[in-house]
Amino acid sequence: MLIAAVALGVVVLSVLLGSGSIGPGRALDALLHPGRHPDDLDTLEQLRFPRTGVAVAVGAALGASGVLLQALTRNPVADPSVLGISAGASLAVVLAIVVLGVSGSAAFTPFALVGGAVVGVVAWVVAGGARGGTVGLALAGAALAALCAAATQALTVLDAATLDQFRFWLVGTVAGRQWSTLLGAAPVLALGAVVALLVAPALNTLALGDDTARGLGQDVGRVQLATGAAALLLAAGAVAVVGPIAFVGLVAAHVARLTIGADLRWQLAVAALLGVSFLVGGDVLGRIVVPPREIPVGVVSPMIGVPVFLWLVARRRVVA
Amino acid sequence: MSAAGRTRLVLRTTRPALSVALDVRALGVAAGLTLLAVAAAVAGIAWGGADLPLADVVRSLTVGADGGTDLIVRDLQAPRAAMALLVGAGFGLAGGVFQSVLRNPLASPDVVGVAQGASLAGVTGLLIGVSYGISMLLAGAGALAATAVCVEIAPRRETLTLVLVGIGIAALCGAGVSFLLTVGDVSVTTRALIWLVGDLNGTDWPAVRATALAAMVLVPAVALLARRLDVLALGDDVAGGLGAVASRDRVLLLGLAAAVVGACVAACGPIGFAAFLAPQIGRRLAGTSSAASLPACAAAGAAVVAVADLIGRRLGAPGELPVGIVTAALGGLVFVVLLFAEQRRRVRGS
Repeated sequence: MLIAAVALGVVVLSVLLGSGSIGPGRALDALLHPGRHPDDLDTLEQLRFPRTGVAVAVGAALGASGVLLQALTRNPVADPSVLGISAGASLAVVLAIVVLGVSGSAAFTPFALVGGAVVGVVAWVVAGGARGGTVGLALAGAALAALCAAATQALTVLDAATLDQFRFWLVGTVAGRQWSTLLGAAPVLALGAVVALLVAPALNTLALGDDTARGLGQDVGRVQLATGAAALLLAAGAVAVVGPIAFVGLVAAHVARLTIGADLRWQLAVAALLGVSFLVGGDVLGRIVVPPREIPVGVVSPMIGVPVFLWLVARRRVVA
Repeated sequence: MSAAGRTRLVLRTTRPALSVALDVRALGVAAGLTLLAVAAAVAGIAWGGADLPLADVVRSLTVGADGGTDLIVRDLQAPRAAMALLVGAGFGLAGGVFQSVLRNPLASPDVVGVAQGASLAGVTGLLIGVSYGISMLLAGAGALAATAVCVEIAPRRETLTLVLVGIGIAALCGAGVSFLLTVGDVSVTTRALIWLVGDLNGTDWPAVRATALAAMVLVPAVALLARRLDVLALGDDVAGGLGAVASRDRVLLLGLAAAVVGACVAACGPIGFAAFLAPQIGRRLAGTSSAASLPACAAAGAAVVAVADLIGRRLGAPGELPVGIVTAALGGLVFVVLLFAEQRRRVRGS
């Protein structure tokens, strides 16, 4: 399928292109003829492979999380960053760094989970739950995200030394990410993926509405819990590895719906692929636009994602 | 909107021909909060780091004490106190207008892009190395620009779309700010970070005068348009029936409020959540959300910033906690309150 091909193509590009000195020609050469350029191959293996791998995993996780959250809240603007989950997760991690001195994504993950869960639930309740409507939820999430950002900024000011090393992480970036970073959060991401796969068939029934679903025999409460848990695990795992990256889930979920239709199982799969394309593509873009500098993917993704979001609003695709 | 149970004072003059209905409780709350704000500001002069006896401070402010005290009080501390009051009132007023126009207590300038636009412009200025003053003016312009973009993009300038677009712009500017903070060298970044959480330090009289000038222009404008707030609150259709052009009024009111925010941010950085807190406090005390509560919102804002500054300086001694950190913490508390209020409403099943 076209989308899978695009995803694959972007991944390949990610390995070939970069802000460093190894241009696409050399990279291709090194890959195809391993014996000839061992140094180049080494660099590729240490920098670009892990970076691409991390981006693939995180992109898929965020894309799937977007679909799950939109199905759960029945709200077209739901996404880990819009609901404040990413902001809450990163605040929790920053708190952990400052107060407990933890480091490494394996240690970050539980804090990210708790932070993300708390903020997500609070946003849902403050918005009035299902009564809140599209805008109510987006607003609650944005307000909480702003609060978390303020708190994070405050901590950065108060403990500048510790947090200087995490300035980059706070932006959201795959630069310099190693396989070990991904492995740290892998259990959480894997668990989230498993739960998502298990709950996917039930999502179509859930989409009919709580009452209808119950009438058809579904245990709505349990499905909602599972969906929320899967979304949270995927989003928090992503944040623990690369920091908060916004709008990936939103864009992936919407494009998935536009291309593949209403079946949520397919939406989940396609959104994961689209998330990969979006994130890896964004990273590649950030690497080639202003060499030798890099623009972190956490900056590129809102720059693409927000205009798409605004376009959706302008086209009245976001039903208020 | 109904007058049931609210005492009104009607003022009529013949020359000029004016007829004004004043809400007694709202004005009373405003007066009370103003007193609180001034008290907190004076306390800030005395206890905020200079450690002067309160009586000396009062004497210095009114009749003049000895040279040394006068210097500290009048030239160093008083500008800061005055600025805290001015800026607080500005944030409170703007917050009240935003929350009314956008019909949601969460839709404050901090959330729908105004503060973020200002932050982006200000940090850009600091990073490319222009003078501090010019960076601040840029920040003010940024606040206006963000609102202008928001208004332009939102289809039909409806409330809901304005909010959504504002959130998008806030996210975009936020990403921009994060990026700029990683690009600059550490000294500039630290300066920018301090400014981003609101910085009343180093204020002097010229800055206060400039802000007061902006206030003298903008506040009467808001007062004149305040009535349209109440009309807008009736809903677009009813407002149209009463002869108001809802989308245009919204743009006017939001634009003015954004200008106020811009002026305040230009003075001392975006003080997070002051614009969110103040109307919550002012309106709950005044018991009304109508335009009559705007003075209460402004007074509450002045009180919040003055008190927060005092707390920040006492808690952070010998340094100081930036005022924005204290207001953000208070903002978090208010959120928890909102949370419980919402929960209670759910349980009651309304």
